[in-house]
Amino acid sequence: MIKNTALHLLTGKLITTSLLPGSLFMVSGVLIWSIWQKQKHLQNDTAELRSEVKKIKEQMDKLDASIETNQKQKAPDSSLLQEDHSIKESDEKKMGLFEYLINDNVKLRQQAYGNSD
Amino acid sequence: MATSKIFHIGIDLGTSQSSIVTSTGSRVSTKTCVGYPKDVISQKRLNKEHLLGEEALKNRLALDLVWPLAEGVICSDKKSKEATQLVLQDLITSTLPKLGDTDKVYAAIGVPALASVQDKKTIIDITKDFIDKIIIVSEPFAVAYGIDRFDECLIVDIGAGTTDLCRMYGSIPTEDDQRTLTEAGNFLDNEIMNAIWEKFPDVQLTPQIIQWIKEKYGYVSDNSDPAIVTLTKEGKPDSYDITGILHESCLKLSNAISKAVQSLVSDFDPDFQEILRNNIIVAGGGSRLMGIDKAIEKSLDNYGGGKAICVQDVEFCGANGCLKMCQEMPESYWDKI
Ligand SMILES: Nc1ncnc2c1ncn2[C@@H]1O[C@H](COP(=O)(O)OP(=O)(O)O)[C@@H](O)[C@H]1O
Repeated sequence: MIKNTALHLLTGKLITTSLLPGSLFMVSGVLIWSIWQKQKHLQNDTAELRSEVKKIKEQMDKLDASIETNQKQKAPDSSLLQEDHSIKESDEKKMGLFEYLINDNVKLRQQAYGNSD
Repeated sequence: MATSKIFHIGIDLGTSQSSIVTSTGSRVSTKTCVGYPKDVISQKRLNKEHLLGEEALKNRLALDLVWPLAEGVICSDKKSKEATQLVLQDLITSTLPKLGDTDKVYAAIGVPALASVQDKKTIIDITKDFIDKIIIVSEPFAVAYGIDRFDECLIVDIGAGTTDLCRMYGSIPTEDDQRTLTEAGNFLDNEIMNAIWEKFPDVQLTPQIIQWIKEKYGYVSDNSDPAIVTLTKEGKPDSYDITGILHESCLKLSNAISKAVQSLVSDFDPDFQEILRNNIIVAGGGSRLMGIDKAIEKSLDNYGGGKAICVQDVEFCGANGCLKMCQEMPESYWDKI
């Protein structure tokens, strides 16, 4: 039993003393590699995210611009308003003239024929 | 069943020249005259009961010519009424040859400003068989309407029998806004004829020769090319320099017109005189007289200056205005007549 235990200890010690530095080196290598990988990933993700943000920003700018022009088109500018107003005014004048002309011509028929047809 | 269509027409019934413009895009202009064969021989030769416009003028030696609107109004005799009817009917049939029995003709007719109620009644009477609805308007008003100018402007319509001036300011012109002068084309013809005879007695002149001279050489500008014309004396042709005579005669017309313009400007609302002075529109055949616009402008120098322009499309501008009026008049207004 003692012999067994001693053998166990000896083997353990042997293993630890001979293998520990190598395995330690390996583990830390793996660790460094994985950290490095993760960081690389992270960097990639950040770059990707940045480009996505940039794209979204560009789209937002475009959207803003189109809303602005849309509003500009929809909102009548003052010169158009003025033109519209003067068309209306000239139409009103015309209707007034027509009314006068027709009344004048109706009157003419009444004078000419002495009745109201 | 055939569908009936409405055709709109605008007619300028003038003393010497009448024009029609239709909603189908046709336009015709003709002399307002009708010629009846003088005797059986001419009747046989011409083989027609009457000739119209230029054709009548060409054959005038064989015809009795009737100018039904000679004095700016329809002459009251039967022949003149018939002649007016023939001229109007011919204008319509030559521009609307495909008019169907069920189609309707709506017309606006521009007449000289002097036309009386009786004249207008005559026009309604003589057209009732071939025009379904008709409105009669004064010629300067039709000109203004045609060029969309019923705001502040002064129309000067120089015709053959009369020159009609009319102030427009967005409402219906009253009597005070209008002047009618007998100084017009025919007046100028007379002046030129008398002036030529005074300087060169016995040269042979006819109304046609005078009119040709006036239209070709007449001017009121400060200078022009020399007017040297060939006239005959006792049958022998010779060249005559009438540059000075022509200028003096033409100035008599432009001075009379300028005076009327000054008077219409000066008794207008002072706030609007300047705008009136700067918007003078010269129309009618007489607007072709060389330099007439500048002469009117010059006559306003003492009043603060002015701006006059001659209309484009002189021959049809009155008829165009009438057609425009017809087409823009709402149906409900037509229903009233
Ligand atoms: N170039 C010209 N210079 C001067 N007068 C002209 C000229 N051309 C035409 N006219 C004159 O214009 C007159 C006709 O004008 P118009 O407006 O047709 O008259 P109306 O409406 O009375 O028939 C005629 O007296 C004609 O001789």
